[in-house]
Amino acid sequence: MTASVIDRALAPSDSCHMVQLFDNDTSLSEVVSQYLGAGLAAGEMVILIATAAHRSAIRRQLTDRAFDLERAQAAGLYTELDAHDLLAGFLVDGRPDATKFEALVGDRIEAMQQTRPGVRIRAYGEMVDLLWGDDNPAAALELESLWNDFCARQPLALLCAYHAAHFGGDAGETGLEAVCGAHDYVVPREQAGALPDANGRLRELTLLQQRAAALSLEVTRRTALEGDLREALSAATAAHAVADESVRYNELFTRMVGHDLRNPLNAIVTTAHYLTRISTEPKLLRAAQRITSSSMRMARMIEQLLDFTRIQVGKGLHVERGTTDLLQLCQGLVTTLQSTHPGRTIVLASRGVAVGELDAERMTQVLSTLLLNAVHYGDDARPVRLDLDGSDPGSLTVSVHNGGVVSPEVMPLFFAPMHGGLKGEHTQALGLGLYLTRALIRAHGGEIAVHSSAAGGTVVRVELPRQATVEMTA
Amino acid sequence: MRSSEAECTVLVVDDEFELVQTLREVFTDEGYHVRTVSNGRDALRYLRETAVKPCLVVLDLILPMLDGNAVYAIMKADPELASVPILVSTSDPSRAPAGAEVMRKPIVLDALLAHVERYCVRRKEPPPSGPSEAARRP
Repeated sequence: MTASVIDRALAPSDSCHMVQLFDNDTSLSEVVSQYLGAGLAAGEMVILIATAAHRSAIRRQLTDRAFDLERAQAAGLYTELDAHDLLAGFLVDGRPDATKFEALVGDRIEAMQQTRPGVRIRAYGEMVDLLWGDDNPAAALELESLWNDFCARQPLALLCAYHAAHFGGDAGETGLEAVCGAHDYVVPREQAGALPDANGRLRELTLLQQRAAALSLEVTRRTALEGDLREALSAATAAHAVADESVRYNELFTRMVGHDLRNPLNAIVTTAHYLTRISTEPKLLRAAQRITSSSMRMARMIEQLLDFTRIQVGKGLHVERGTTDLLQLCQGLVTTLQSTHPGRTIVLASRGVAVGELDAERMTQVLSTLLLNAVHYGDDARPVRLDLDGSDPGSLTVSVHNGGVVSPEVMPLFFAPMHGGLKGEHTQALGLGLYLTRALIRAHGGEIAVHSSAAGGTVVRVELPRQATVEMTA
Repeated sequence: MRSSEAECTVLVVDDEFELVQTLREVFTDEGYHVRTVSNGRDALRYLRETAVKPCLVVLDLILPMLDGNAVYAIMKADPELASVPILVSTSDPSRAPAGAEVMRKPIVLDALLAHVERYCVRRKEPPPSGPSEAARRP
């Protein structure tokens, strides 16, 4: 189909230097066979300068179109030349030598013309494509120039071909412009050449112009987008650096609190203990007791801050598992709490065996927090109930029940850190107890939930696997 | 009953000066000899140089020069020191060496003294004029 356009470009006896861009070998061999076939049908002499593979494909197509190539060859109308061999004959240091080209190519074509004066020669050549494919575009353009010189002297219809992929890189546009400039006529790839009339070609041209404009706009848009992305990436990198610095400071803070602050506090607590050992003076003992009590509270806060920081920097909470009897642990806590809150009733009920592989120290922290919260925020007139259920072979359940009510607006913040206390009042704690409780339950592979209603009071329910299934961190 | 120095010397390795002073007084009151050092390197130097090994080492973990974990490992690998009892005292028991006896800080003196009593012998009886048992409880 494209060959018909090529034919229309050809004046009957003038020279014409054309170029065909192609995407694949099949389409190329079809175009070239049509182009050469039209020449053979018109009684022109035909020269095929191509690689062995392309010659074979083109020959097969010409044969399929009922051309007797052996006969045409015998009559001097059809000549095949190997593109690699011919090229090697006139290249010197990778560049075409004009004298050798004339001797090897020009003289040969002129000799053919002398056998049939007035009959034009129609040639197809892809030596330029080989040179361009070898990353030698300068040599290809020099060869095009030699062909142009020849066409100026002798009537020759010459069709060259270039693989379109040669012009896909950054320098593609410049290269294509140079190739187009070296030819009288450019045959585009695709089906543009198949258009039947001038009007159709104008329509196609308009469409192509529109596509080109749209592509140009797209390129501009994408370039701007790329700029925006680069800026965003740069901002994200900077933010990441700030976050890294923040984590570094957090870790520094953890180390500082963990060692520098706890050390003197340990000395205060131990020394206060010592005072209670060496004195019987009631006033001194009471003072030492207050120092101890305040110091211990401060020590607990420091521990909570350290745990909180570990979670915030992604290190999680570590649990040290060992065989732990939750019932025994709860009994001890209830006894202690009952002694410090004599006005409150705390009821412990249990069933089954409440033994599991748990971190006893951490579970003491969890249950102590839940019980203290139940006592502080529950209804004074109603008992605090601690129900322990060890009847399931795979899990343990602890429920802490008080008669208080958690307001609906506080419920979503129940386990949130530092939200100012469940009743919005000033407390002596950091507001990390329930947050760390949930983190510790999760570090054990368990879950915790709270339910509250005016009728049923508030129940915090903890479910824990008896054994560690996977290593968990909160 | 007087005992040999080895049987009644407690080595305290801790860099918190005030705590060390309190422990020194507590142990002295209770009838033990006390040696104190403030870093891991000095602890090892003392342990290797002294002919009379202590009956117990109370070892902090975060120490200058050489930390408590390294001291623990070196002592356990040294035939002359491997049998010296060690009590790791730390605010963060999760950092303690595996298998070590650990006492969480802040130290509860009654618990500490009970531990010392398992390994050491007093060189003298504690002063008779101490407070009552009830008054002792912190």
